[in-house]
Amino acid sequence: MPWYIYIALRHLFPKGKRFPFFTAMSITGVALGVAVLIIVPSVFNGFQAEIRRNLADAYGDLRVEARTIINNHRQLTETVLAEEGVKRAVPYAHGMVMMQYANRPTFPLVQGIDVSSDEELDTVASHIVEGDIDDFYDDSVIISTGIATALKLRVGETAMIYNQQLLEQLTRDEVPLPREVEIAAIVETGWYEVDENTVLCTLRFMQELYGLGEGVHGIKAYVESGYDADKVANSLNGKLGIDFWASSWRFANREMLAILEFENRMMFFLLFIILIVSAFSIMSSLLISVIRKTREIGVFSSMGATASQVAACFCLQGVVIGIVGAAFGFVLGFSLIGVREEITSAISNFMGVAESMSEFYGFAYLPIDVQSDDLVRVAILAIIISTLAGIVPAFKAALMKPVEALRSE
Amino acid sequence: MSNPILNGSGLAKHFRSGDKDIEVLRGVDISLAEGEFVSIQGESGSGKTTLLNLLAGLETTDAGEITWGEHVVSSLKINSLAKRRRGFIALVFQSYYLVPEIDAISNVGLGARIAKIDGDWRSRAESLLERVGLEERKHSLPNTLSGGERQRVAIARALAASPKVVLADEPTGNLDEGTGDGIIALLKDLCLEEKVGLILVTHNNIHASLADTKYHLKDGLLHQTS
Repeated sequence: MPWYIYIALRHLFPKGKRFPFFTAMSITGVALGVAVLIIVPSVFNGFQAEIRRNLADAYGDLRVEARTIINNHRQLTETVLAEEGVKRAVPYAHGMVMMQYANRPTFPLVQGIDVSSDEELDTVASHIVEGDIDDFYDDSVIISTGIATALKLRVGETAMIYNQQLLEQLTRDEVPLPREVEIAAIVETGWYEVDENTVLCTLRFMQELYGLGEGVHGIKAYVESGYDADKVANSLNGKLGIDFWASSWRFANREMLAILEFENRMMFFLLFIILIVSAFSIMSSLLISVIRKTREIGVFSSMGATASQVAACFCLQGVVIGIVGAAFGFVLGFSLIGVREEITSAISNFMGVAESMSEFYGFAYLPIDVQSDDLVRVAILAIIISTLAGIVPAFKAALMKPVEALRSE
Repeated sequence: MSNPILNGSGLAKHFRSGDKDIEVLRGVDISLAEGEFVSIQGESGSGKTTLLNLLAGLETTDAGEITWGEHVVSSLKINSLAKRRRGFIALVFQSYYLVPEIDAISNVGLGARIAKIDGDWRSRAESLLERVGLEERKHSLPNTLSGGERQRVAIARALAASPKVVLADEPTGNLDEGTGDGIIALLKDLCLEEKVGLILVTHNNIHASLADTKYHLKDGLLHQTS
């Protein structure tokens, strides 16, 4: 081992019982910065993954739509299913109705779903918070938690649905009769836009409500894992002709996703400042070390050490602090991630906001998504920042004239 | 005496203190042969340490020429001087200047490692520590050693670089008389054994009298004494 590496390590970790206070402080600074840069983006990524999952559940991976009602939806569904990467495609119809219960009206968005698809029913069932998917049939509906709260509706109760066809009956002086529907279940996806104002009914019921006959509004498709919904949608657009277009859930929610991505980047940038602060702590520690060891530097020079070797000795200390700090930061970060539930429940209990997370975020737990790209980025950044922090003291040491270093008090 | 391995001729150095120019050295001539022991005495502030620094290439001269072996070094840059110093010149200081974070054997070994001496630095350091009588303390940290022991480690560190010349600047300045006598005797013997030229700067007449050649620095000039 070259002498300057040996001395760099011994300056950081001296032999004997001397506690390396400066080293400990510098490493702690980097470790805390790295831990925060692991934990916070992972939590953000976890939230985003949950939001994306809910978005994809509600929208499907992609949708094929047309300007008019799609009457030949079976043929279109076959075309979509034939596309490479598409694992499932189901027709849907959607629209707005007035729903009334005990003189309280609301205007939900109604989604007609294909109950012949087990996967479609399973997806709905996975979000049911009250009721049973088995009670879902043509004269029953599933409502979101927002509707249930607004109309004070419970599972098993009956509500009235008024649709646009009733208005047409009025113009013909006919007596409009609303449809009575039973509440089969209540769902919650965690996605505000869906949970606030959604009613699910069977596709057949929706076709009746909107007078669609056998027609539908679109085809909802899901892609195999490993396939990019955007690419599949683009490929479909090349085959469907000008009357139809396919768009991925990502495209449909691009504004929301752009905001999430922007938030993620800004948050990383802000947290990055912690590493900068720890870099200044490293720099000041190493500068103090250079000043304390001025004579030692002079002695090294008198023994034949070159300026670059002296510089390397101090610069390496920054590198080692970065590597060890990043390693401790990883351990600390993953340890805290491992006990995140205990920490969040303790904080919630302490602050008396135990319900707030599920209330506002729709998650009863703290989702985590640790991305290897982020880990590599954080580790490299920590080491680069620590190395840069070591460069200024290293230059100061290297530029010392031996005789002046030896004369220093 | 054989040919000089270290030679300084017409060495001059001045320092500026406020508005005043202080001429510390005014044309000093000095030479050192292989294995020769030279002592330099003089009043405090007479320029003894400055002369050693010039000879060691740690400081630049205003005038004059310094030769290490065959090479004129007075015009070399700091890094070139540092590389030439390896295995040629070693210094022993009054305050030892050991690295406090490493033990005695590592401090001694540092001399060999920086000078890039061939062979195992550890065995060389052990052998030198044995010769200075500190084989039992080789794993001791500097702060657990006495002043005399630290200076012996410093001497071993200087010799670990296999130098041709040792420049010792008041190496007994921080030691009691008895310990100091032992250190000088040790330094002299080791240099003689290794055929290393030794220039000793000292205030101690007895130590100076042990030298082959004795100088007194006064008014910026070097005078040989009997």
